[in-house]
Amino acid sequence: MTALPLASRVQLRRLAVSSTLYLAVALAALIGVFTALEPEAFGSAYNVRTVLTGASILLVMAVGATFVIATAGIDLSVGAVLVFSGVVAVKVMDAFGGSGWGAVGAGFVTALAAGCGWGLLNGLLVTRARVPALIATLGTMGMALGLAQVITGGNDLGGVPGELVTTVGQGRLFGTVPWLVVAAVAVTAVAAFALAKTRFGRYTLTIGSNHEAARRSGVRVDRHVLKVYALAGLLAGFAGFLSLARFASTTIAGHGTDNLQAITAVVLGGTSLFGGVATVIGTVIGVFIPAVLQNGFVILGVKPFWQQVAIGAVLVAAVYLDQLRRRARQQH
Amino acid sequence: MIRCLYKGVQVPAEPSGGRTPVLRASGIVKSFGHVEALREAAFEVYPGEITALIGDNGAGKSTLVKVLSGVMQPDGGTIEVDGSPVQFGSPQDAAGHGIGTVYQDLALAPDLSPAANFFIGRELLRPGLLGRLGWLDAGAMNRRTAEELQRLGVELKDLNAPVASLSGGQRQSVAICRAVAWAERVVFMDEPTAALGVVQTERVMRLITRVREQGVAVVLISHNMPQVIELADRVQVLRLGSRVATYERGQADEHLLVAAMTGAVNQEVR
Amino acid sequence: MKKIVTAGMAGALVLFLAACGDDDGGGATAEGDGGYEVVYVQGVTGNPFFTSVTCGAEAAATDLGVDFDYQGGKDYSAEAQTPILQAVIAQQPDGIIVSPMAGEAMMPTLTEAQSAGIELVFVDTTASDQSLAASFVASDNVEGGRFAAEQTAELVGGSGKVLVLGATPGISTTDARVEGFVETMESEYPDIEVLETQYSGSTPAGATDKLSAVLSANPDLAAVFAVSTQEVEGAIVALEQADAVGTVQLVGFDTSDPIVEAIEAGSVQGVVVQKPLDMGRQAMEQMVKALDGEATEAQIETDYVFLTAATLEDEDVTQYIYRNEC
Ligand SMILES: Nc1ncnc2c1ncn2[C@@H]1O[C@H](COP(=O)(O)OP(=O)(O)O)[C@@H](O)[C@H]1O
Ligand SMILES: [Mg+2]
Repeated sequence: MTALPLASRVQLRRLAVSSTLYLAVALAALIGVFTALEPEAFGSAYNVRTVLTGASILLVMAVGATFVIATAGIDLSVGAVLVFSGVVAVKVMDAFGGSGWGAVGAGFVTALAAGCGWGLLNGLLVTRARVPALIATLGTMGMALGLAQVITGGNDLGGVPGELVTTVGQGRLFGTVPWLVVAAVAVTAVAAFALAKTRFGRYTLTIGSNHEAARRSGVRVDRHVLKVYALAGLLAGFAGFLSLARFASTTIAGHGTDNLQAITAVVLGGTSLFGGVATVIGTVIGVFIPAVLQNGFVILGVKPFWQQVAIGAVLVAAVYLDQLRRRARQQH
Repeated sequence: MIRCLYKGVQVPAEPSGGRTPVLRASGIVKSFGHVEALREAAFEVYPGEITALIGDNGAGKSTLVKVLSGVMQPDGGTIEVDGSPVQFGSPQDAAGHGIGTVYQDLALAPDLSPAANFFIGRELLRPGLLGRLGWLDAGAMNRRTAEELQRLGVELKDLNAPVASLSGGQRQSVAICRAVAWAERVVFMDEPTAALGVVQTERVMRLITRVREQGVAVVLISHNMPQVIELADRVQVLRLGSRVATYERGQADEHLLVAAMTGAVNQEVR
Repeated sequence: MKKIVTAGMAGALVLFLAACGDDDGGGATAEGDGGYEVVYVQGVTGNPFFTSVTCGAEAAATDLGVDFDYQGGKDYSAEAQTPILQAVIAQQPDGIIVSPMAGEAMMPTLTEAQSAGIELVFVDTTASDQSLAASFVASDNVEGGRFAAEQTAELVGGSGKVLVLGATPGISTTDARVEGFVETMESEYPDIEVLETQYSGSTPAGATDKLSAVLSANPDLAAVFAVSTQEVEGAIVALEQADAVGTVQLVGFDTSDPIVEAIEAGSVQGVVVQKPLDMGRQAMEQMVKALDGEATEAQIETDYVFLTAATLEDEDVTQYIYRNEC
């Protein structure tokens, strides 16, 4: 119980704030190394664009996961909700004639509503039925994917309106920035602000840090947690719509690991699985570290199996360092 | 009526002195299944006083505090604030009457700053549209927190560091200052020094006296008898869910308090 | 293809399906009218590949006067297939055509069928003891890879850089396609440079990311062989992003609605298509021979067709596009 010497307390403090900074530096270093080794291929506008675009859909889901994990929750259903939302959106767009902006708009609303619906179900299971989030969202993951397969008979649907694919999916703002990237940046910016600067974000972090303290201070904990799961579902639905635009297909079987990828990005970004500590900017970095490593390794010609080894090692190392930081903080 | 089983000590039966208690509870009953935690317990808090609430483990102290701070609803009995009857459906109801609590577990969010902890559930928003969108006024919250800490003489190096990075005594101080910031009448403190070392205990005890100096009544639960005798203006003893004795400052020594806690003395016969 | 699809979903599905499976797997076998009763047990229900096998078997059954029914597990696993197969055995049909889970897992149940005097024919996949079955009808994935290599080589005129987009290492079907493709390219097309195989992790997004990175390093890429529908869907996006549709030839494996659309749109030059319809038909023919006591072929390999924009109108080819219903 003795107070730490001032010097080491200051050091701890610096460690705490620098978690995000240090990850940002790591990412910058990675980019620097790859650019130095392969300036033409890695540093080209084309490559930058593909990496950014490739990460945008995952980023939208990971932003939602950041809020959920900030409350000390977990959402395993995002990939399945993405698929389900995409499937029902295609069905609705089909019913609206399968082309034209009216159909696209209807599909958009449908995807968001479907995602939000699953999120609400997750939230109700966690807050009302008191099913642990891990099990509740594992269950809804099965249900959402299963229903998507029931609706489609397990076969990917095509028939995504061409307008959607050529604009949102392939188009670029001012001919340079892909719309998918614009969408992800917009979601991320709003979410970063909401988490760090608004009462919504403050409740999210407080609940994750000590839900009992929040409850005793009059925060309606269950209602807020419900909103957070709904938000994660909504963003998964939005991601589903973006995925349709991108692949012109419902990609039913392609999202089995989305949940793990999103959670990995969130944790890598310094958000604690125990809740209470979370930043959206950290999540952005957490999405891009594996994406950049992957891209750089392919360009450098690293053998595929070694790519996996290296990426896995980097992830473990980053989270290990974060654990060291937390342990140091709790040592008194 | 005085019933004194402890030889040679005189104790008064009516220790109030005619003032109106800021908080009065009478006939409070609370059961958990077959366990009667409170059996028609009575309790008074007078303005500007430190009232110690003592009793053996399981006597019902924590339960009484929870009832009086709105965390739990009693099965029976009445609660009055400044002489008028009230009912507390939640801690917020009690807070509305100027009653706050420093919980034994502190109820702090360890990952958040002291300022964020001060304002849990009471966040200040910016004026205008931005505020309506939920934009926090971090500056104002930091300022109010700093003022409040300063008023009670608590020094913190960094108002933005997470509470978990503070020492146990500092954390306790943050929890006390937070409660005082929102409670102008009464603050309950459930064993505020039980987990602290000697130096930090001293510091927190000084803080408790400063709270009284600010005009806020303190209800102190403690097992530390010298501390109770030093700090308390009034001691009320709980045993098996009922109050068995009340002493004003100087009326009881450690032996008498222990005697009352163990049932050797009972002033109040029902 | 089905293995990849289902492996990914299996875990997720178990929970849901355990809770509320609906029954679209067909009803009980009708009483025989003198002909044989044969049931087909699919690898998994609701999969277009197995649906097509079923269609082929059903057509042959009609021709041969066989009383036909089919069943299948809700996901591609031994846990799902075992109770289904046991229930079918309990109905005492004359023969069971089955696409068993590979390895030992289904052996006890298959042995049960044999001791109950039921004839067995394996289709698409085989259990560890193939001799339980009167015949085994399947296409060879190494051959499929070879066929893809030949088609790709023709598209690129026999020279240039070619990338293989694999699924997830360790899946035997897709690994075999990679193997057949790479071996054929190396032995028969010396002017074609096969780049290091990249794996998508069985997700379209993974395929897009990998192919994009490869295109950054190799702007002169001539062709991509994408080993299953996931990789094809991802590769289309990468080529579109790189403005390389049509310049980089894209060859896929297996069909789906979006992929047929992409062939029409010119984003995919062609896909290798198996003949599940033929598999089902031949399996039924072998079954009837076995029941009649005639000699059967222990193993039959079905071949492939190449579906391209040019053959999209060709009934000989399009009949093999996998079906959602017969
Ligand atoms: N939530 C509860 N559920 C059941 N029994 C409880 C609960 N809270 C307290 N009790 C019981 O009520 C009695 C009084 O407990 P408490 O108020 O915590 O005593 P103290 O704080 O004086 O040690 C004890 O017998 C205790 O076991
Ligand atoms: Mg207690």
